[in-house]
Amino acid sequence: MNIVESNQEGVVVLRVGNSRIDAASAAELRSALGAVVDRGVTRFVLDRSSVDFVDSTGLIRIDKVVQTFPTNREDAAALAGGAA
Amino acid sequence: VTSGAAPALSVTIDSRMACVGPLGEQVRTACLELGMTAGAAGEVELSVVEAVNNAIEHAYQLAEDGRVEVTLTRQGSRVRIEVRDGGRPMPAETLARVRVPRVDPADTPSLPEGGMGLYVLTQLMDAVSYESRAGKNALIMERRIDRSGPPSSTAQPSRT
Repeated sequence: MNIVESNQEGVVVLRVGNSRIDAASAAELRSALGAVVDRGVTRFVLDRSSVDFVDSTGLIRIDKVVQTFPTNREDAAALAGGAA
Repeated sequence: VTSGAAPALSVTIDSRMACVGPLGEQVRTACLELGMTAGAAGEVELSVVEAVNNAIEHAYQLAEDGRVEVTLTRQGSRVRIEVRDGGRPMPAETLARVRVPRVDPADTPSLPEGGMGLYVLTQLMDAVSYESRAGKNALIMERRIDRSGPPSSTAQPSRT
């Protein structure tokens, strides 16, 4: 799972380099997002513009990370679930 | 297989999650070649991926020394996809009991850990059935080639 982090006008942007978020790559994505959350980042954009396939396992893994957010959960859910 | 027509696609993979993505892309390509819209081909791809994920996770319990065989055959105006494995059979009535996963964004955790895949494929396909005989399991899915929108009715699961 290739994830490139950048900071655009104060917002952390995580660009997913893979075209697929699936059962093979979801654990790695979850751990990468978890590492960002552990640094105290509670607002970020998950840029899925390169992603053209997400299966239910991938969706669940993203959701698990969102659920670890102590605050702004609705904002994060909206970002993670937004249209690609 | 049942019609005698040559499959448009026949692929056997090891029971490893890393093998599923490339298989999914082959399925999508085969559907496009049959004349499906990009959206419909993507829905078949997703359904096959969910079925193969289930075979690896549940039938083989994530053991990587199994095989999953996928065949895609045109049958008139429909495409028939068979996903076969040699692992543990799905418990009786599992397919018949598939229901809408409970999703509540205000609750934690909001998405269930399991049961999503079967729900997804029964929603996207026109017909879904499952059979298990002599250590061989097969999930059989059918979808109209010219349907690009939602189904006229939810796939009626059956088990033989």
